[in-house]
Amino acid sequence: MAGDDLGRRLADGSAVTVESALAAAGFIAAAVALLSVGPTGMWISALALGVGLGGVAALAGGAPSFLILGSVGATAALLVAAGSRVSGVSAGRWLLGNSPVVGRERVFDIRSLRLLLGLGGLLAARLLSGHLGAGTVSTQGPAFACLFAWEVGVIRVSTGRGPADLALGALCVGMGSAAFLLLSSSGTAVGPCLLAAGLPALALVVLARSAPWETGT
Amino acid sequence: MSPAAGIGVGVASAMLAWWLGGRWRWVMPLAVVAVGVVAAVLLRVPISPEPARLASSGLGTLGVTRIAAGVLVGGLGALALELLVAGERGPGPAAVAMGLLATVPSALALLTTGMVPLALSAGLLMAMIWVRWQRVAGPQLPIRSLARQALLVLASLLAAAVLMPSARLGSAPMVLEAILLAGGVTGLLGVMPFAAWVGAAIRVGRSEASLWRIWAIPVGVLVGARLIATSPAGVALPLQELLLALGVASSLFWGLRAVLGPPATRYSRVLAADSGLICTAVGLGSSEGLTAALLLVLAHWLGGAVLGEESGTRSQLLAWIGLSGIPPFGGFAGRILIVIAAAAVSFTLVWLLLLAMGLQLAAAASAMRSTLSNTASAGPWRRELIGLVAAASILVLGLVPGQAMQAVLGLHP
Repeated sequence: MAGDDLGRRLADGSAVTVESALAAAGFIAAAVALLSVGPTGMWISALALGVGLGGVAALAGGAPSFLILGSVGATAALLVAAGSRVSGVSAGRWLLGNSPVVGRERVFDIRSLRLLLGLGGLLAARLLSGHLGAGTVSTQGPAFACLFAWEVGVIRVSTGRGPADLALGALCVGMGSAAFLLLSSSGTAVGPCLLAAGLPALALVVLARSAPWETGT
Repeated sequence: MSPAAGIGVGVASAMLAWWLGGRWRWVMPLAVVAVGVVAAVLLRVPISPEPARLASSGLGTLGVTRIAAGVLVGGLGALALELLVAGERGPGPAAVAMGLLATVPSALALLTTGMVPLALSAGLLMAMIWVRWQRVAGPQLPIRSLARQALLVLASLLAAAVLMPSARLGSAPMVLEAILLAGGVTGLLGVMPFAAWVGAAIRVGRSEASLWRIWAIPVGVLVGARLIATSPAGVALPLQELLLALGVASSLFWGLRAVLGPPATRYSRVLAADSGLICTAVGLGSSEGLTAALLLVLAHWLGGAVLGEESGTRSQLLAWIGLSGIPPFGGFAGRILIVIAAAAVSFTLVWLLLLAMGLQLAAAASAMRSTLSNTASAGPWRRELIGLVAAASILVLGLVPGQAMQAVLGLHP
């Protein structure tokens, strides 16, 4: 009897550890997307979001849920990285025209600004995540990662210096939403999640190399 | 219609387009596709009297209400009117193509029963408008703000869709859900604090800006009304209060800006003030409010086409009279219906709405005066005649609003 009890407690402890680790990975992925800059940052962020939030979604839906977000993130990362190696072809320039770049100095440089806003987002996500229910999963940690990814998206949209930043912000929002939807539906809402993550990923692939609107710190 | 007949119509229109030449080579095939898609959807999917409850966990199905069908067909009609009254500086082939392509996300947002596809369709519609405007005007500050607004609409509606399935929501997230939904709807309507589209529309030119009037605002009206009708009371009530507050603030703000602004920007600002009134009407949550909102949409579909043109023509004068709020025109009928619907809620709201309408009347009077001093530059008689008929239809709309709304949108006011 005592052994069974110990075993159950150990199993519970290991589940909690895995849950915490995956939620932490989701949070780190969102933090990478928050602080990344430049063309390399685009594909690294897409990959990190796919893998990190895929892990969070796997808590409810298992490997298939991980594969949905992971494959969207990895494909987007691959296409963005491959696109940066081909010179002279830019779907973003064809769509949006040639954008004149404006120099603009800020009080805080762009990473510091995002970091400051991200700290506020961290607090809000911590406060809100305890109120959310998502299927059978204890949501404090996983919902926190999803909410933080969504907030990172809004921050990247608000502070964006060009269409590529906006597309990455949309990807954060889409990935965060898709991960929470997979948690809520125990991995059954495949169609909506593919749409929510896939459309912004497509926008990122198209716009990743478009000219920024402004330069400067 | 059988597939063979559809293919036949397509081939005939392609040949006709080739023969007509010019912009028709682009416009005709796209128009056939857009009209064909709308017709196919409307003929295949049964039309239901009430909007279906939004399903948050899946892709949903397609469900058509009579109002949504009316908005789709009416939007295509408004686009056709835009082309018929367009002058030399009217919408080019790419702008017309964009207007027709915007039918797809608009139809999806209006017909889908899945909340996630709805959010993505609304975001796609806004993104299409932004891409077109950025292409025309370059990355100026209002255009950038429009891009941010488009993404915030997407983010708000997507987050609301994701929170919806949680049956165990506490009281705080209920309000959060309402805030997110209000952010999405007010963003679609272009209402404060997300009114970046007005500055952007002024940059791109009036006929390029018609996408907002023809598709974004009507879609926002129906999405907002549907969210209020199908949400639980804990979400619907805060959502209504937010829409009322933002709508009244926006109509007052843009009414004042319309009075003070230069003549070239006046119509965009009056439309923005009217979108504030429309937001208020949707926020009232009653069938009278929805009828009033759609009546104003109809009046702008008819009057906006001629007001998008540059020269001061007699049709413009008539359109300004129709939209000014002078009885018995359509602009008056729509606005007075909003006041009647608001009287059941609060008299403070009625006074604020009357003040907003007074500002719009003053702006329209100023526009009429500047049009009167400029009416010598009349365009070709065919365009002028079509413009006059469209503007005069706003009078008919005001005289028989019930019959007009029933004929176009199947509403019984």
